[in-house]
Amino acid sequence: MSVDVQPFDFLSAAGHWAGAVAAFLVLVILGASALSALTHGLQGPMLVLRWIPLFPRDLLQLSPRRVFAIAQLTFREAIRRKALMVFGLFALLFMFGSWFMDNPNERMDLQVKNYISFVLTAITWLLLPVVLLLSCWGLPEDIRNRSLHTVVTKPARKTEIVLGRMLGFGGLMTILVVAMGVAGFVWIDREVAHNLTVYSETVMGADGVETLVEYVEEEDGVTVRVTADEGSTQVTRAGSVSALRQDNPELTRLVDDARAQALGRYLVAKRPVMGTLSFKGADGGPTERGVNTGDVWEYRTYIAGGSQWRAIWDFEKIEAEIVVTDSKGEKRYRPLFLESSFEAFRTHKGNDIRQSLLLQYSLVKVDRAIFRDERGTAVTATEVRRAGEGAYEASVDGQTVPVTRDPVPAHAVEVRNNKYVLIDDPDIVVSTVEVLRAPLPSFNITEFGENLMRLDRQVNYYDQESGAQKTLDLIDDLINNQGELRIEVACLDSGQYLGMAQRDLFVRLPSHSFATGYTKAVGGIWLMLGLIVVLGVTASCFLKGPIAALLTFVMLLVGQGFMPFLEKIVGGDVEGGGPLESIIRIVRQINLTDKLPETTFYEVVKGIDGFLNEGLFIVKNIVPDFRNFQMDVYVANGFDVPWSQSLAPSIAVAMAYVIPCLVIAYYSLSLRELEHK
Amino acid sequence: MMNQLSSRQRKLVYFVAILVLLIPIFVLGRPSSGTSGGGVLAELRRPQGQRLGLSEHNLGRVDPTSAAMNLVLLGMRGVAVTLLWMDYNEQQETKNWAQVRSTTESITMLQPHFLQIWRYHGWNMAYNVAAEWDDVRDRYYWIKEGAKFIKDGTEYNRFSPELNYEIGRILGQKIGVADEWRVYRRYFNPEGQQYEDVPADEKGDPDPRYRGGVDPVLNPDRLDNYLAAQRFYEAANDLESKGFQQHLMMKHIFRQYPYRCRIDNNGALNKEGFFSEFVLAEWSKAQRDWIEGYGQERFDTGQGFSVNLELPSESHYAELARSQGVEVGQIRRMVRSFQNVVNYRYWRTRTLSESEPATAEAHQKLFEGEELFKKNELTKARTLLIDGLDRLDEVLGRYEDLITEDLTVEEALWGLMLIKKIDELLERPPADDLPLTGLWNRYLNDKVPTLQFDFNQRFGGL
Repeated sequence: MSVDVQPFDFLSAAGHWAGAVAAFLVLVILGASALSALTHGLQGPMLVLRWIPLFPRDLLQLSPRRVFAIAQLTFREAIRRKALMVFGLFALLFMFGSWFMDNPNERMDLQVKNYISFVLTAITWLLLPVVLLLSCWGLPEDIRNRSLHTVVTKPARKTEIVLGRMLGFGGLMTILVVAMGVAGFVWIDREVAHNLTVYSETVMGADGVETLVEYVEEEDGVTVRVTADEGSTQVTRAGSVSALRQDNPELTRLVDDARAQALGRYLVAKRPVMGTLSFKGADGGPTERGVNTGDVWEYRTYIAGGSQWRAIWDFEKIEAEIVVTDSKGEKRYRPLFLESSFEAFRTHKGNDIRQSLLLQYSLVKVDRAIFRDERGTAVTATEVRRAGEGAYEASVDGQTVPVTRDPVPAHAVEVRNNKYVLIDDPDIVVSTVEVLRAPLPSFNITEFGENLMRLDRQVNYYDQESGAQKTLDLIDDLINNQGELRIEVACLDSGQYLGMAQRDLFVRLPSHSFATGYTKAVGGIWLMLGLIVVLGVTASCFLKGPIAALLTFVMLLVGQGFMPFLEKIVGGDVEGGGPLESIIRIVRQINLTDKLPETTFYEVVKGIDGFLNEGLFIVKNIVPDFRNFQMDVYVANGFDVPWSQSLAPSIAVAMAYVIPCLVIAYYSLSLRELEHK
Repeated sequence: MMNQLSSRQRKLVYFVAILVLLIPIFVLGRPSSGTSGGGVLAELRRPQGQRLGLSEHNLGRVDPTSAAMNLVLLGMRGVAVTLLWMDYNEQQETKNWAQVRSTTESITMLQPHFLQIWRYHGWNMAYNVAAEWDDVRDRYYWIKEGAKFIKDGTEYNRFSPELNYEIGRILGQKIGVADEWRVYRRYFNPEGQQYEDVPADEKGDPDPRYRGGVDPVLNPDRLDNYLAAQRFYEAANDLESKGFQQHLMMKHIFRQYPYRCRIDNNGALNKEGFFSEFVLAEWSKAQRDWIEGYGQERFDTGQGFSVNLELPSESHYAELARSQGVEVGQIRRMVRSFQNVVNYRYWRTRTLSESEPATAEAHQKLFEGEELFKKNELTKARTLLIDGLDRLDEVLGRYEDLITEDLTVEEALWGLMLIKKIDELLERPPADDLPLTGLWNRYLNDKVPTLQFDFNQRFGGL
């Protein structure tokens, strides 16, 4: 899985939003004033200013009853337009869906991803055109056949008409999403259950005895192997599943338990706690990135095996995850599960060709702090000397002053120029001392799969210095005062490399059910369609049906598919310059990387391009980023949809458009000539 | 008259007319289902039995899903396929294997009769995707996936010699020549006689579905990889001789593969340390196949006459020339040239020499000598190696052609290096009376240093 998104900072986003909306409104008012000044002279701007308070007044006098009535009307109208026909298409797709994807992967873990992606994509792309067209054609159609007159002549406010429309279409869309979501869930569940014909699970009986159940279902019969408590294996063969059920009711129970467990492994919503990733280089010192092995995909960087290269994950607030309070209010230790999915890169096949790469975790207690002088100013750690027990001093501006230690969390620190520094102030070097280290037993990598390791509270390890077996307490000895745990990963095979990305190692909390993650992903689709309704209704307030639909579609297209490209252009990362420069380069056949001659002509071209780029900057910031709503990647890879990285930004994006859209819709409708067809 | 009818009556008349018109359309256009002949148009497409083979089902299985998808796309198939390829490239780059497989499936569903797609993706899975995985069991899984994928392709394109050839190549060359060939061969056919003493958990398909047995899709007859590959190469040759063209290589190169399989398999058996009577018999079989099978095949030279590669005596050359009305010299030149291309004479000599017990003995002694060396039984190992080299010397005396061939030379040089290493470990002075020393001196500047590098990597420097 390759999602690598930063946690969402709601406050800064809200600030950015307020600034953008305010700037936009000011621009609109200025533009309107200028235009009106041209037509009405000095009276014009006064007229514009008089219009401003109309919207807040309208909003304050809003009647929920009337909004509901219009919403109801909209809903009925949409049903009359046969919007529900989309169910027919949906049913068709699901009836024949399995034809198109009839188990191309024999491995169930790979195939499950396809099922989930298929369902979520199908729901999105079936509903998108319906919702888009309905919301864009509603109002213009009413204006065209003059049915809007029956509403506007009633004491209904413009805001109520717009809100009613949005809610009406939103309601219909909700029903469609819920129905399709439920049908899709049942379909995934049935497909996976139907195709799960091979599994091997260790089932824990009520008496605590572990039993290994290996089940293989083929065309000519079923084979079940049961190995109880590492004893002998009992093999049962039956002509069919029903024959097995009839002849061996007890075995069937065991098989069903194992099947439920296997299904739970494939259909799951894992909850990861992510850490901060950094590296130690060949000299054992901190370094920004790992080695580049030449992989085109730069998602992972690599550590060299049999050397001092290490990948380091710092997990914060880990203590809160391990020590939980149960219903009786007692504190209880919960074992910690570490899951990893590293990638191996070999420079040779190894001595034993059957052996996959060996890696090792070490648990490290680190003491991470900066130093501050009496005024609270941070002092770089390289200037600090120990001045006694717990006392430190530093040279600041040629004077020796006492300084105090101030612990910093892992996320505030990064590696720059082979030093740990503060992200906010890269001049301040952070003191990072490894206090204690417990290397865990090595294990072989399972690539592109699940490497799960359980950490109990008592950590036993072999101490190489003393040559003795030692025991440490995970909470008391290895987690530092800030509740953080550092895990170092080493590759033990010399000449081989292990690829790491931030999401490749995480602490796995008890998983949520698949239904939870799936519901969130469907919720993401719902939010996206809701945003389309808001945009569509707003566009339809000032444009005719087809044009409004086109505008909304273009926004969707840009916000979904062209956002990365737009970001590149606006960020200046595209080679070959802006639009004019590109045209010149194409016509004159100048290579992208060639420098242009420094003449006045090209200076002018660059100036114009800069201006056009500003236009694109505005487009980028006005068009909603629809990528936020794509949550299928989490669910398809067996993860829960995280709140801060996915749900929160998508809710925020959807909400951010409601108020500006209402404002635009209100004034557009007020200004629109409703008699005009 | 129509004007006098009511609206309903008119509709009824139209309906009946539609029904009447549908009958000839149905009779004419009924598609052939493969077993039944189909309508007149379908019959027209194959006026002489199946020979013209113009209808789609003649190419192979017609999948309703694939046909439905193409219809739904309303002629946008090209665009859809291009988008899928773009997706595919990104998925492979980002190692999204689940979707790589399903995208491939969608591409072939849209263009089921486009051979290159089957060939490319099958090869890609077996050679590239497999290499991305670290666990040898996973690598084996993807190699099989590649072969299975092309096998699916043969269902849609049942007259393609090329697809059958590609399956043979993956089963033979990929499984048999990869660095992991020892492991793969055990996975592929755990029931081979050579693996009788191998513990059950070290052989057989690692997929839980097959529980240490064979993969029935690729190896239903429980054969060694090369012999399973031979079936597919034979199918390719059969199709080729029926007139279905292959565009991969010259005919005489293409047609040698089934015959080469047994030779390769025997070589692998020897390398695995298996030298029983059974293997000797297999070498004789391989020799017969090569001389009496491949050697007798006739190839067009493009100069108005054809030749076969096995012509044991002058009279055979003369007879072949006479029957086609050309000069003996022309025949001789072309036979020589064709033989050189496929290294025909070497393989003939090799099969002949390997069918002899003395050669098997030489191989066995060299193999066992090396095994003893690994167990540090140096004196015994040295005696065996010297014996083995002596035997090899004898064989080379009889089959001089082999002296210039890589495999034999490397085997001899490797034996000599082992002996030198043993002498060094036993702190003996370097021996100057070793057998085949002439061979060592002959290759002192090219093969010896290269091989020495491999040797040093494995056993430490001399």
